[in-house]
Amino acid sequence: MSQSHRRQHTVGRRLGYHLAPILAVLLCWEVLARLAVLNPTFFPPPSVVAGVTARLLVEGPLLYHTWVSLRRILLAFVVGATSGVAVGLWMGWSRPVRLLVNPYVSLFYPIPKIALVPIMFTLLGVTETVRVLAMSIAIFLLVAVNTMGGVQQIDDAYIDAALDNGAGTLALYRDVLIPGSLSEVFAGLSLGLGVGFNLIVVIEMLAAESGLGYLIWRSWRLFTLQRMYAALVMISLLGIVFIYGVDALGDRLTFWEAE
Amino acid sequence: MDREPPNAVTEPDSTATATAESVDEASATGSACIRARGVGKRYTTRSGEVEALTDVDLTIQDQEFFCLLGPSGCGKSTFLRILSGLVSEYTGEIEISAARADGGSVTNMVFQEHGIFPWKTVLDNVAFGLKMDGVGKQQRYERARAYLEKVDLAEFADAYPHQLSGGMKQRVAIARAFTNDPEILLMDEPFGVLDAQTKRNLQTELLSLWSETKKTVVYVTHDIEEAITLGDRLAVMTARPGGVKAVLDIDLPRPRTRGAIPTDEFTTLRERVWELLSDEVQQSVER
Ligand SMILES: Nc1ncnc2c1ncn2[C@@H]1O[C@H](COP(=O)(O)OP(=O)(O)O)[C@@H](O)[C@H]1O
Ligand SMILES: [Mg+2]
Repeated sequence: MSQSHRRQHTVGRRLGYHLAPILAVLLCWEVLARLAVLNPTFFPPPSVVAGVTARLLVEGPLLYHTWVSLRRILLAFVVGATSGVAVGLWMGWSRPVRLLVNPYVSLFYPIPKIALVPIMFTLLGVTETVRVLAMSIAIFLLVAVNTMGGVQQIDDAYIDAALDNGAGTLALYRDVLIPGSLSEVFAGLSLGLGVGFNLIVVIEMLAAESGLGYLIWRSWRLFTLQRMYAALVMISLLGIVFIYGVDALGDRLTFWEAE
Repeated sequence: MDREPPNAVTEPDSTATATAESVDEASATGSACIRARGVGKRYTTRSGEVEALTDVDLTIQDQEFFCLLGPSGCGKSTFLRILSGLVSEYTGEIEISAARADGGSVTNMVFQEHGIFPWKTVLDNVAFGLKMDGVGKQQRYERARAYLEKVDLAEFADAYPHQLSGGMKQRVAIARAFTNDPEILLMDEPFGVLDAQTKRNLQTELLSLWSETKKTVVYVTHDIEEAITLGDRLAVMTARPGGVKAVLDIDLPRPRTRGAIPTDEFTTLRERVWELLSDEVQQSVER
């Protein structure tokens, strides 16, 4: 239909807007590195990085570290997003729950989550569970706050109409509160993923023996810069795919707000 | 439409009323459907108390088209919300004698705007009330389609509200209300934001649906001509806190299609209502 056509069009154009400057920068970089204006030891040309990335994926440790990071971020995302949506919906709908829970959320919301990671390690030990947990808490907070806002901004008329037509609590959530807050939920998921990707890199740099953040840090320390760039490419690709993927999914699911 | 017969049978002149009634025209049967006694409502807000309604006395007859006319902010919506059960805290008494054998809701609202869900198709919007009542998918779609047909939206069953015009959206809301088959339809300025032509078309459609189904309608509006065109009776409300200032019979012949309404009587009525209303409008403007 014309609707979905237009949507694909905007997604395509948006991708173009994002891709064009990236390509421009890569091209400049390539040329400057080839002309040795940029020192290729520090700034290997993108074509070289691409080759190294491909080679390390096949025969090096890159695939393993990518998988480790991916697993952490997915776990954290699933835990943080589901709990965030559930608590956010509940806070948004029920005033008592909001009054009870919101003070804690508001307390932690503005604190840079990375600053809390050492405390969590101190309390619970430097384990895989804590790495994932730290990330999921950050994602939880963003998703919960956005979802709550999404529920609160739903036009009362929809809620009245649902109640007047005999909706019970379950139907109210399923047919009104969830679809009505969906675009804010997805905004929260997208923000949560962004924070999650930041956190995973830092946590892996500081307190892990695996993952792309670890690989970046370690490669830098060992001055294997091509490897560092390869890891950077992978984490960027993951970030792009996941964050824009969630955005695109959100747009698609809230098609009625496209106008 | 199985309203309990015992009442009507024990009524001595029930046969006389039935024969006197014209066949193709719906009109009130003469037994009270809604009785409001001394109804009042205060809202508590951060900036203090707002008295929205005070001492409302009204009796609305079974199968009557009853219009509620009043300046904006006088509590018309509040009154409908009390009747619908959306507002459950109020003073005074409301007695609704209609009942439904199938356990569905006795009343159903048609809201001015946004009453239909943008994330549901037209068909799912119309069938929503039946879904809430636990009616199976096939059966509720069948009934919803029948009413979509009646409001000329059959080919839009799978469209979404954002693809429809304002008038079409309001048709969807009306189709949903009739599909639910409540005893009492509560309509809160349903055509308030529509242009004159669309409004007239929808009024005609509504009247024809109403005379087919013989439901009791409580219709809120601030448009005098609309109230006179549609109603069997109309109540003029006072400025806030709203009460009933006067109740008038509208003895105009039906069907009230355009051109069929006697102009003189219409004008006389309009002048009378305008006089009743103008003080109240003045008051609510000055506030
Ligand atoms: N939920 C509410 N909380 C506080 N005040 C309200 C609420 N709903 C309506 N009011 C107030 O009650 C009065 C009557 O409102 P309403 O019933 O909507 O009037 P109308 O439909 O006649 O315009 C208005 O002054 C309005 O501001
Ligand atoms: Mg109103």
